[in-house]
Amino acid sequence: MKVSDLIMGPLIAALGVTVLVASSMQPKPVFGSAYGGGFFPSILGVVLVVTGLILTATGWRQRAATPLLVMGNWVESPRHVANTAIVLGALLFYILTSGTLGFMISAGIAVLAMLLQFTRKPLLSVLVAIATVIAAKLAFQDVLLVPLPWGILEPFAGVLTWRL
Amino acid sequence: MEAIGPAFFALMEPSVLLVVLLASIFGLFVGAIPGLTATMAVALLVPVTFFMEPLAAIAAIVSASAMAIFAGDIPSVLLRIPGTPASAAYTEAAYKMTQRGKAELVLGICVVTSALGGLVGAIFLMFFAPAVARFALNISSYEYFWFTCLGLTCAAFISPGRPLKGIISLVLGLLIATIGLFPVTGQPRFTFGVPALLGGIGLVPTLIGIFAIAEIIRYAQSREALPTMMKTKIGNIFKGVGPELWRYRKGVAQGIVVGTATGPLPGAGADIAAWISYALARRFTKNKTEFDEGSLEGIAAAGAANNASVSSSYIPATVLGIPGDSMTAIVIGVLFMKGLTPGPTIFTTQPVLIYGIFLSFILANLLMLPLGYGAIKLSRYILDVPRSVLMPVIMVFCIVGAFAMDNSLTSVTIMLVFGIVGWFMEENDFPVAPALLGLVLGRLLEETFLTSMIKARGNFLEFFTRPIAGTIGVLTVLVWVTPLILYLWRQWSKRRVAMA
Repeated sequence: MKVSDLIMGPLIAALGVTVLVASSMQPKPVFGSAYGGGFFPSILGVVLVVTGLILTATGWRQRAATPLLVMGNWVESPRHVANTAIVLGALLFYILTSGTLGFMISAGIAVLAMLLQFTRKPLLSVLVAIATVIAAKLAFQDVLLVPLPWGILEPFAGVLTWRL
Repeated sequence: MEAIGPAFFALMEPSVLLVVLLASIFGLFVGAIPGLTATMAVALLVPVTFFMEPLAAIAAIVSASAMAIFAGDIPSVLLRIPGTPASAAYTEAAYKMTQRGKAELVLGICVVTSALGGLVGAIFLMFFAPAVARFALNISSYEYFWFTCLGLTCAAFISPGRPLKGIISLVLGLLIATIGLFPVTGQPRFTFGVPALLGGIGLVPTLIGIFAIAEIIRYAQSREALPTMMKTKIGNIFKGVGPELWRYRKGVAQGIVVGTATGPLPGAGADIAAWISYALARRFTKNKTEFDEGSLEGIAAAGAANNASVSSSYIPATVLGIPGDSMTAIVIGVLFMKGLTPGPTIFTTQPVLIYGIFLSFILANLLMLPLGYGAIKLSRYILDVPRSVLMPVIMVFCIVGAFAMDNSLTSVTIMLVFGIVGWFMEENDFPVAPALLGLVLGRLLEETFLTSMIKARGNFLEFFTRPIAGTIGVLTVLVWVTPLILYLWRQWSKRRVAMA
């Protein structure tokens, strides 16, 4: 996905303006120096506005040669569009459900969906998904003691904790 | 220097050695697989190092990155695809040798020159860094401010693509660093009322997002299949390496010098060192036709250069705390997470740690010979691991890695967001390294800037009054205004041509 400078430039300049406004709303310190939390970001805001405008100018000069938006050739292939959707979907699914379903189930479903989409081999996908989830759980939960969410598997937490 | 003894013993602890060994194998594996970069290896390793002692953590990163840079040569030779960008300079030449049935010899040269380059770079680092640190002890916040500015500016200007996009990328990184509590007053800044953002945007989830998730998205969209591997039997890769090395000794020496010299420069990483060294080798070769048909001369030089630059790139990172590329930026980030501030004082406060890090370079480069040999022997199997299986597996480890930083889903969300951001930036030719440097250094830059402003009572000219600060300050400002001057010059000469 390649966006023309003619669109990127104004976006970046607008971000700069937003930063400037947000910086001006930062409280000024009462004592001591006159530099509050907004001082440094406001400099960054100015740089963003300037660079955004320059980018717009170059985009304007090349407007005849460069289209406003070019999508990669993957959008023409339904399979690759699905690939992308599954990657993002799997991550979103994990973020939304891991609290209730727990790490093992959520991550298991997410990785299984990706494996099925990428390899199209059900048996291999199931085996790799199970092995991956168990390896990640062992390494992070049992060895490094990271409290991965249990979710609905909470009642079995005792049985499922494999410490050396 | 008297800390070398204790540092050596600290590094020889069985647990540290085990970590180095495992990290090396991991680095070799990730580096050897096309599409997985050395930076990605390190980004995935960082969450695990979070749970280690500082020395073990940095030694793990050092060995993984050194191994990954070397392992990138393996698919260059066998598949004509560089495993990491650092091998791209000589992929063509290496593959041409393979087509002539010389895969064994090329791989042998790659592993030996990599180890040699890394070793010499490490020794240089060990003797040179303390000297620079002694000089750097005298610097004040003014100098520090200018050093950081110069480093960041160069990184933005030298990065691939247009400097303008490098600057935008850098400023975005600096801007993200301002999210969280404002250190002076302790008030929340740009947190959008989200309590989880009070601590700022975590470095590790950002890293994993930019370097791993973005890579997975790119893989999901890539429509090109990997080429089939050359079916060559790989026997003893060290056979015949000695005489060839002797024959190309000048090239190897050139590579080591170029790599060691480019490593500390901000913005110039292992890939640029390899390109420069390869170009130099071509310029000074006696037989250009032979060189272009694929000869060991350029491979030996550039193979040594990229690993030498990995070692010497730690000089500005450890001495000044200013990283020049993504890899050292990660190391700085890890040191911060361990509560250590890199800078000249680290040589007096943490001598054992710092010399331990230097020694770990030597250890990693010595380990490269046996482990690299093993990786080459197993390369057929490593390269056979389908990426369609690997990518989903990597994603699970990305999720737990990001989560492990603060045990919250916010980190996983940040990782996803930055995965998309990293993918989008790369698609639009915005280099990601400057953003990462900005994110790592943003806090310190703001702090030194505000401290200096307060000291100077708001008079920015004070920033130029100390001799070193003044020199670097003028230099930095010159770098800033060069594009403008060039632009005006071009307009002026165009007008002159039009008038004449």
